[in-house]
Amino acid sequence: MKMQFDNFQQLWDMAGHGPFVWTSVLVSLVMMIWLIVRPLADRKAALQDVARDIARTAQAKENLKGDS
Amino acid sequence: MSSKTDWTWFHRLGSPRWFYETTGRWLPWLGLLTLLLLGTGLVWGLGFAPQDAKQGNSFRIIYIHVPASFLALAGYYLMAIAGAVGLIWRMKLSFMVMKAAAPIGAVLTFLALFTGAVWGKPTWGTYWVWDARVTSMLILLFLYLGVLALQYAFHSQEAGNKASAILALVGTVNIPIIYKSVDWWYTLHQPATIKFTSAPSMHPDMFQPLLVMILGFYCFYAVALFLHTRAEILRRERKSSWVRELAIKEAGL
Repeated sequence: MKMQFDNFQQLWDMAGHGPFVWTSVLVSLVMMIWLIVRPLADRKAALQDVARDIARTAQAKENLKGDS
Repeated sequence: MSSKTDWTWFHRLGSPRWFYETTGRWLPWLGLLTLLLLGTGLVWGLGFAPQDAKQGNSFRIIYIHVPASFLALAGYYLMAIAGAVGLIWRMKLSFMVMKAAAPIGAVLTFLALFTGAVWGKPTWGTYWVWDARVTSMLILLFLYLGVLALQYAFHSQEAGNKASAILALVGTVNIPIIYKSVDWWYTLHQPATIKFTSAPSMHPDMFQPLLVMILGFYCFYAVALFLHTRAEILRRERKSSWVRELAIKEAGL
């Protein structure tokens, strides 16, 4: 097994096919990262929604106690 | 031994909480494995695999194109089976898995089409042809988007689940067409590189990194599917006590 390119310039250029290969790789990486980041953010948002709800209910109960 | 079959494993499998907690333990390891495989496969395939005698370096797109296409198809089966299990046994978790599989499958199908188009330019001289393989993959993309859209088309979650599952099941007819399209019709697309029934039509130096990439994509798929399902579980089970406890713990209330 041997590295096919002598330097980064050659690796980037790929004898003229670089634009095709690297476009494919970069677009794929960006979209795959999005598939990981989006549900992580969703999970966090879902838990924050529930926590906010719980805090609001607790506050409402507290207020009710104060009124009576 | 009890005379009745023990079904507890089946019910546990259907429990969103069990799924959430178990995948939570698996995810760090699976994520690490995914990074290792994809990192190794990419460096190997892009830098070390020998270039193709006819296609030159453009052939290196195969290391994304083939794994993405594989998982786009395998993911469709998974989505349709999850839909069927949901319809037959009314398993809530199954519908959540089905919904989670839709955006992942759509992205992978898009990537298969996109990398195929970019690969087509230096190889076929055109980005796009309306040939059997390419067109049937485009239909796959629309099926994924349809399943996703139906989830939001109804007021009731249950109606959305049923509609999505039925579309997913009907759409499975497209999968064998995609597989066979390169044999049935005259097409620009080359025949399958990897077949279960014969040796790969590829030199081992090129094939080994492809195998690593395919394994990496399988792991990536599992990670993405787990993450999407977990987020969906929290949304749909937000009223249950275990999710409320989890929210309190994470918010530090």
